[in-house]
Amino acid sequence: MNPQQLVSGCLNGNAHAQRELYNQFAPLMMGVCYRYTKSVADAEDVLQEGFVKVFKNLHQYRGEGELGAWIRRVMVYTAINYLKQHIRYNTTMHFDATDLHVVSDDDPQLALEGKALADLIRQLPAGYQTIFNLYAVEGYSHAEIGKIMGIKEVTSRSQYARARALLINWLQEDAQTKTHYAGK
Amino acid sequence: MQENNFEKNVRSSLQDLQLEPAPPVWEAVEARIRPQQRRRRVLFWWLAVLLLVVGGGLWWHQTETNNLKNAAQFKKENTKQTVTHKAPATHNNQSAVNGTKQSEQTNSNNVTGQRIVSEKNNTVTFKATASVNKNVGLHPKHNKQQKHITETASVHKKYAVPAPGTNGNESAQSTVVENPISSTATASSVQNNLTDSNKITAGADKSVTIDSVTQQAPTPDAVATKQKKSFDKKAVWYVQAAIGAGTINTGLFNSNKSADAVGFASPGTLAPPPVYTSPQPPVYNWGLAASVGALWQKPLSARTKFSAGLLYRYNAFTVRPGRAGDTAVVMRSNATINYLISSSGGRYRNVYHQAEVPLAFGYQPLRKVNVWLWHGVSPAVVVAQRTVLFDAQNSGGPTADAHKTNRWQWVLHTSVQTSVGIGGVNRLLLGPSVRYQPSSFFRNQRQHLFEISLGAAMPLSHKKQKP
Repeated sequence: MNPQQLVSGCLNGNAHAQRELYNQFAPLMMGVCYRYTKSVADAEDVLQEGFVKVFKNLHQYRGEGELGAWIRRVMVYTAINYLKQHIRYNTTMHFDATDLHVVSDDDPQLALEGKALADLIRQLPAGYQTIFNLYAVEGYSHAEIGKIMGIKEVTSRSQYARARALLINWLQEDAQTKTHYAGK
Repeated sequence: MQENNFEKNVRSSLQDLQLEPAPPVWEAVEARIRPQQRRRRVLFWWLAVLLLVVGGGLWWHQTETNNLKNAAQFKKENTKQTVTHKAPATHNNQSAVNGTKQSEQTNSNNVTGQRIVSEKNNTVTFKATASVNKNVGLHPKHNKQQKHITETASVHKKYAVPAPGTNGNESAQSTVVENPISSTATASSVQNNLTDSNKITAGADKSVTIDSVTQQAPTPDAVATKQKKSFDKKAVWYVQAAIGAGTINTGLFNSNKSADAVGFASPGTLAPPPVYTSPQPPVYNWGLAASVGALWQKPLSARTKFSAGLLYRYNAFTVRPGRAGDTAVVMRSNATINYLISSSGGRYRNVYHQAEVPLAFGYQPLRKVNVWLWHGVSPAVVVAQRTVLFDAQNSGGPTADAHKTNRWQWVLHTSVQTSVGIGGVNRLLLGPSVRYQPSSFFRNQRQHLFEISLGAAMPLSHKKQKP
């Protein structure tokens, strides 16, 4: 089934089409949810809620752009909503606009890829993690992130800078450790 | 910030990251996107069962009523009255020889009359022999058991009919008073007179009179028919109380359900809630139930009844998580009191209140044994005063904030019930009952209750039964 057939099938309440759509996009969206949360269980919560929203709001998909991109956007918004509502994420998502940090201009080569890199990003504080994901991976601008998160644009910039610096630091430490052990 | 290779590398590395979600996620999604369809399906089946029970009862009632009517009609139609009129040889020999004879044979409405008209004498003379054949039947099905009562009368002499025979024909004794014969009657007049008053009056001259017809005592089958027709149709009100014990399958907590799915959160205002992973496998827990209310019983036939009522039921049962470390979430009526209890496999009490309308049909399988079997359904509204759900140990636990809008939960459901009632009309009823009560509680979560109870019902107005 092509995406258009999937959408029309789902809109008609076709269980087979719904299952097919889920099977087609669930692994990719699980990757998205995984990056925004701290545990697999939370990621699955977000995935479940996100797909419920997808199926209930599929009529809003006009066929403009890729279906996968639309679903990804729903997942991202669902994840952010989830983080805002849960205390264990909320406590680490308070932003202080005055808390500016030096922007790192480093441009290191990535020694990690895929899930390993995602695991490293998940070790960032929740606020940094979210902004890093939104900016670096999803490609939102800081103005858009400010609107989504309900923070000032400048806050988003500073948080991203701190997140980026932390991550680069960890990557470099990781590379040094690897080199160290490789030398021995 | 100027985007450089770092961001590009991160994006290319992470944008296509794929991880396989656990299978229960789809089940939970499916349960949430199709709960309405499932509820509709459940409602359809319960309505079908309800219609079947009600329709079956009505059909049974109708059949019984028709059978009684048919039996009565059959009896009425098969009460044959035959009157035979013959010209008496001693009186109209001459006319029979000399006159021109005109014979008329009448056979209508089970009455046969014969009249011989002598044109020469211009008279109508006859000898009236009246016989009344009564077929007393119980029911069209029981044709073989029909009894025949033959009443015979003659104009010339008194006689006694033979004693009741053993071959199915019984004769009743009739008395005929002989009157002077100068008959100018018609067969129809004899018929009418016989039908109306058991008297045969042959025209104006009163040639034939049957004063009385003494009928044999009714047969046992006739008595049974009469009893069937004369059952007490009056409805009786009862007060009923019952207490029971049962087991409830807490399967409702048995798959991944979000807080929204189990009714915690207000849609749209709260965050996507955590997933509640259930104990596994389903755990059966014991509970108690008590009910009190009023019942209305209407006899449909001598051995069938319909019952309707209004009952209040109180259910209290324990629930427990299947795994040590699962967290119990206690929901109370007060919207602001929602708290968590750390658990390592403890037990918690759930409390439900239930208002139900039991509808049932009862029948008496054996005529002489005063035991009634009841089958019925009970649509009900259930209100949960206190409910405990379990949160999986690995989901991080729900927060109090997420449940602030919690209220008493309610659900519509229907139970199926079979019970045995000992006691007759207007007597104290006592008996055990078995109930199966499935519920789709908390939206798409199900529970199954099996219960055995003992109940008693007392009539509000006691009426002495006729012996």
